[in-house]
Amino acid sequence: MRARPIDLAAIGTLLTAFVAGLVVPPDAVQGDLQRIMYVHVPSAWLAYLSFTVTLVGSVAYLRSRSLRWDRLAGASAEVGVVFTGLALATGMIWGKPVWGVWWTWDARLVLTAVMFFIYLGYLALRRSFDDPELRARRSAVLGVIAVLQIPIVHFSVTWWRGLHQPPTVLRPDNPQIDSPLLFALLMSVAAFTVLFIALVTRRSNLAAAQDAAGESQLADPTAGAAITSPTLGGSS
Amino acid sequence: MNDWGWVAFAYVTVYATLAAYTIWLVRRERSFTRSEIDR
Repeated sequence: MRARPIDLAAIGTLLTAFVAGLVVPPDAVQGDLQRIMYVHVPSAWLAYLSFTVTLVGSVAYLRSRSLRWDRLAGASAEVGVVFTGLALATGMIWGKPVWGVWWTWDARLVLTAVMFFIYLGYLALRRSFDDPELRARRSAVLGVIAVLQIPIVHFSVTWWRGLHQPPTVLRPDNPQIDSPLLFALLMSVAAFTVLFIALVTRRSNLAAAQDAAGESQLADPTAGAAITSPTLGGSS
Repeated sequence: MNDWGWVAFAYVTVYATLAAYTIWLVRRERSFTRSEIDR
């Protein structure tokens, strides 16, 4: 039997939880609390990846006018909103024991929240059109503009001083992390990426089926045939 | 709450959310396919 992406994702994420949670040594400074990084950082990176795929889908739609790209953009944004929400939630859970607060008005935190709401807005925009072509065109424009938020969020920790630490791995010089910890982190990123692929594929397929059903509804003459114009009595 | 409590809280939040989203997506697929068959 051929393994489906969703099965691979389930195995990968469970293995990751075991390795990151129990196998790799604890951090020298934060101890076991640092293990939250193995779910927090991949969530944030996958959010970046999701919205980059939304950008690619949006640009490809505008060039090709193929709805397949629009559905990819929409599916990826939906999964990206889930990952952004998880990055915010795990950040808060990490912040409470380490910083002493669930939330603080730090640049990275605020801008990530802004990114979350921008893409919620993108998903709301997608739901506001019946016509798939109109939906695709309008949301593609937002899909291109909204991606500007990614570099702003990523570099916010170097542009402004705040509580959130600067990048450890994605930085110009060498990563500042010990090898076993980096291995667990990359394993987690790989597992989450497989999950992302599985979810986006399924979401795109569902959107394709929904679009196809919408089109057939419009093309079906019996749907409109039941509605007749009212006969207005009294006027001749 | 000790360190392990916070770690467990974070992991459960992530895994439960991802599982819930996956289940929701699969159920949406199924209910959509069913409604298409009914039609």
